[in-house]
Amino acid sequence: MRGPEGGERRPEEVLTRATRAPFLGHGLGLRREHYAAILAGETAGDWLEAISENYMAVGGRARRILRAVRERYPMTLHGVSLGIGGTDPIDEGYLDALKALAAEVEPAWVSDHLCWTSVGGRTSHDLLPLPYTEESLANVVSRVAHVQERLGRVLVLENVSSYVSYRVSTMPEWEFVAEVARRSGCGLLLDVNNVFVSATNHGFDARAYLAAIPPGSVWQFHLAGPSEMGPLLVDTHDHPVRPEVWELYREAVGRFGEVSSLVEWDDHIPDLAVVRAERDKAAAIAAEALAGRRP
Amino acid sequence: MTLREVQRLFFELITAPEGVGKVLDEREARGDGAAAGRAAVAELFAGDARLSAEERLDAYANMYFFRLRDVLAEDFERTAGALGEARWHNLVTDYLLAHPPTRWSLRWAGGALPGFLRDHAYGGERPWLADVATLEWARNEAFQAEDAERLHLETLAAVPPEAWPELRFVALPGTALVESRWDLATWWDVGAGEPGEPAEAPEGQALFVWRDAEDDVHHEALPADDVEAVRRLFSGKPFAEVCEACARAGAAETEAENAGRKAVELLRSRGSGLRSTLYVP
Repeated sequence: MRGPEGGERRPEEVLTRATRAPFLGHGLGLRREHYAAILAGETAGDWLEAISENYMAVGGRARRILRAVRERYPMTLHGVSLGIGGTDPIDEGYLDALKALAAEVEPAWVSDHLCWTSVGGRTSHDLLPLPYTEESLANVVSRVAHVQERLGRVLVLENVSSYVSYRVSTMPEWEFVAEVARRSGCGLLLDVNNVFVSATNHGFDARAYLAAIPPGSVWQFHLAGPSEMGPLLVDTHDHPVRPEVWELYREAVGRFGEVSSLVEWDDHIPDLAVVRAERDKAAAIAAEALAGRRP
Repeated sequence: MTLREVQRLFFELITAPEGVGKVLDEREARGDGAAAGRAAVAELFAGDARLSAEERLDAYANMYFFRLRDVLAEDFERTAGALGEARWHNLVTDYLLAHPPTRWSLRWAGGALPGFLRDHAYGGERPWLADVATLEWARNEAFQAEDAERLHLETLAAVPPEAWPELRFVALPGTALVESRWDLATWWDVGAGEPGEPAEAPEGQALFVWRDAEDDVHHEALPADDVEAVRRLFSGKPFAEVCEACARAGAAETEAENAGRKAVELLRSRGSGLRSTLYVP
């Protein structure tokens, strides 16, 4: 069984990895618009996160570039299609392709989203919110166990932005997220922007959310900029990080300590230097927050 | 309601072609509002003074449709351009009803679109457009196909002469032959601006689509005499049958030796990239 740094680990050790996530520094999401700049030697921060599905069961240029980038940077794989909260059977072909890609890339970790995507054999290609119930929790925990067993590694799950909530939920989102981590042993990718977006859309306290997450379970932070669509904030990854999200990130570093951070930019993608400046800001804020945290 | 039932209802609402409000109106009119209509939505989902639950679900419905419309427009840039924005929007609406995505990657969402367009009213008005879509899809597939070992001349040179008649070749993943009654090769080269309609090709046209060793995708119209031989090469027929096709194609080349020479020349061809798309299993 391969551990996050590529070494061999016993299964019981894997389940304790949530307290020992490797620190990769402050990185960027790998996007094709930046391939040329990165391969020409322009720096992209400390590490890169590749969208798993863009390289799974794919050959040609994309895979060749991924190999070249991997030679230069630590990487993680971040998926969007696993559907860990779904009720259709998990697609074993998907897991095979993900496992094969992970064997080649040797990512520091593999992540996806705490959401559902498909039902009845049809897929939305979206990150749909779950009702926060015991049934939903048990379903996620059971599926995480299966995925971790199949991949032979810890799965890291990200909280998603949401635009609607369920009256049938029996617990707040933060309690659900924390329980998923506690019961399944998965790691958490805390998307600070998603906390802010959902808090704005549903009117809850983003700081209460952070306070409920077990500190040792957070493996990574995500940062991105949303769009305003009427009264909703939508997680479009097409703007700079908002000031409120930087402040929330500062608090998150204060609470969770030295955690790898990553800036995502997926639409209207600017030059690498612009995204890298956001990454530099994340690194600077983390340094300040950690300095303030230390005795 | 179980988790699965909740997810089914959510999915039905956000994938309805005319939005959440319209599908709920229809359900109310049918009398099943309590189970899957506004009463069910009110019981399951929360709204507030800013936005109702129905409007919040509609945000997901819009994202579902526009994400797929835009991804398909990237995959079928020429097809979408030829139709224009409004018709492309309508075509995608109809297409998603008939062929909703079922696989984990968006890159497969358009796999059935060329065939769908062929039978659609818009395809009837422009009978060449489904072939354009087929060519675009073949180029996408070639670009993303999984890597495989290519055929080297040294491999061919090592095959003993007596083994050649039964020698079979396999095309690399993503390699395709797109056949059309129109001159798509010329039409494509005119560019994506205002290319008009392609001219008819009285003899038909076979476009060979492949990805080269540098991962660039190409297509090229094959000489008419080569088409049947290439079809046989791609379908794994023994080399003797490829030679037979070459013999049939050339009126003067009826001797087996000449046909064999021509078949070998096909394999050696650099212009069409044929050799780089084959390997000996």
